[in-house]
Amino acid sequence: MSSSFKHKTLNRTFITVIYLFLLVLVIPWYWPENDARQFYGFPLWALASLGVLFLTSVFTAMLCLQNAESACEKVG
Amino acid sequence: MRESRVSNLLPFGFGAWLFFSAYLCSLLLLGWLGRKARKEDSLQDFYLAGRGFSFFVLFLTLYATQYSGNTVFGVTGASYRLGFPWLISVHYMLAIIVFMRTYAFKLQTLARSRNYVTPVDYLKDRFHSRFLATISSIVMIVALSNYLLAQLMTMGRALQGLAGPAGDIAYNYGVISLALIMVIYGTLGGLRAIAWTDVIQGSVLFVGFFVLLLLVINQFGPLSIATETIAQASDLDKLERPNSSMLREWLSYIFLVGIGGALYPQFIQRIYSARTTQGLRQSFAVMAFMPFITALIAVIIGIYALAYIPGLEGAATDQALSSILRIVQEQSLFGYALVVLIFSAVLAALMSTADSAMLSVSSMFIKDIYGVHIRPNASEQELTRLGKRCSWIVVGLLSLLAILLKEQTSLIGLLDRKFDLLVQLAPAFMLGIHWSGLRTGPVLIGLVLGIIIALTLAFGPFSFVVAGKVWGFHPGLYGLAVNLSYAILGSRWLAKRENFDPI
Repeated sequence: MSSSFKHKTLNRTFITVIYLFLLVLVIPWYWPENDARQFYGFPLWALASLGVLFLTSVFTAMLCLQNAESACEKVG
Repeated sequence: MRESRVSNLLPFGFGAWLFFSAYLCSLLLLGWLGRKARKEDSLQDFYLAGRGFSFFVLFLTLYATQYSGNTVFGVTGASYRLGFPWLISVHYMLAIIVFMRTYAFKLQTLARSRNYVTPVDYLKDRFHSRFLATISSIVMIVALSNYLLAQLMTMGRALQGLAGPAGDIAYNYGVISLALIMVIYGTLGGLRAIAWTDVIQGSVLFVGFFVLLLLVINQFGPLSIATETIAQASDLDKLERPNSSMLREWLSYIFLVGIGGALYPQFIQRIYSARTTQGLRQSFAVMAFMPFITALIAVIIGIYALAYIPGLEGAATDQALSSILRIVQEQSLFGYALVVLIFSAVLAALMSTADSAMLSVSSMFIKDIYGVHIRPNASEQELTRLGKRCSWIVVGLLSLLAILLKEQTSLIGLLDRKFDLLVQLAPAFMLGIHWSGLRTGPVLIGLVLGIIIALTLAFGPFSFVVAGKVWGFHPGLYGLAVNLSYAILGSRWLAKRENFDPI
């Protein structure tokens, strides 16, 4: 197993774990159901969810702006 | 998703119609300029604009294509009905970009080196199966035709809302005139013209959403007062965290719309048309933030409508935005002018989505169906010429259907299973591009099983299917689970069997 293959697999695993972590937090299951507290008109649970979603956007943008993969990749 | 409506606006004056006419004429002019700019009479030039899109054009064409009339009216209407729990629309818009990122950059590199034109070209190259390619083409054509039909119907509703008592006739004229303009510029200049019009449409849409938010805050005051008003009206469930059943739906929407939207053929063709991977990456990076300034604004407008225009029920909730606009329009000349701009943004959202779907349907029909099964030896020029005719026929038939089905909203709801179908292509695209061990047979059988399961659950007479979902999850995801499992396990089993085969 080449070191570049290992690195790529580790990289993909890391990305998947981060996305799963964000997915768990972006769905506000952990917030009390009857909480109607607000901040500037937004319910707090909605702000928490939007905050995690914004982090997801930042993470996605960072991944997109990483150096392009090799142009000689094979199909599959 | 529900069919959207625009209504309740005051009839526009001469100046407004002049503005709309100038806007529509500019689209025709861009179509003509797109034709002048063509480099050769080939499928690649017509359907992919010679693969020459840089970051700026690519970003605006992706943006204008992703955010349709549904984003403007459907999301506002759903937020009116459900309140803050419909924030999920912001989430699934981002999920589309997240899932596209999993395969887009590698696919762009391949498309450039292997001259792919349609999404199915990749499948032919990767899996070497005509049967798999044909089924995939049919799935994509059916899903997109439904999408195009919904956009055409919304175009009709847009003009119907302005016409008052003559609404029915205006609906027909709306469908025919806007479809005609769209098909003219689309067939004149192909994707080049469509992307150039997307630059205008994306810009108008972008500005329109911002203006809309400012206008509503100026008119009704801060959001905090709107939510207080909703709380006082005892609509607390529209402010509280979604219940556990709705949370399951959130998860379902994130995966269904995220994966299905990422596999829209018109998006895949925009990936092909990028000049460089770098430009594509930059476009995606910016697109990752667009849900916050588009879908989120639509949700906020829905909340304002819920607070200040209570009492809308059923299909009338889709008129939440137009009811808000009517109030703004009546206040001042400035408000009137801004509503004209926003209405242009609505037309932009509708047409930019519909034209892309039209071009994708015609390219797949001509290259993947006609060029494979009917005339395999047809030249590029012949296919390009026929592709243009195909656009006219597709738009003509769907416009006729939009007029005939004007009142049949329930039928449209039944047809609207595009994401349940499109997600079944995920193993072939998203897994197939990264894992060379994925085999053709298991992918094909998985795809067929997935489609059968999704459609059976969606249309079968099952008591456990509630509001089109099973335990809060869309039928397409159950199909995808079986489809993906079969594709992976089948491929592994085949590889294992070959390793033990003494021959």
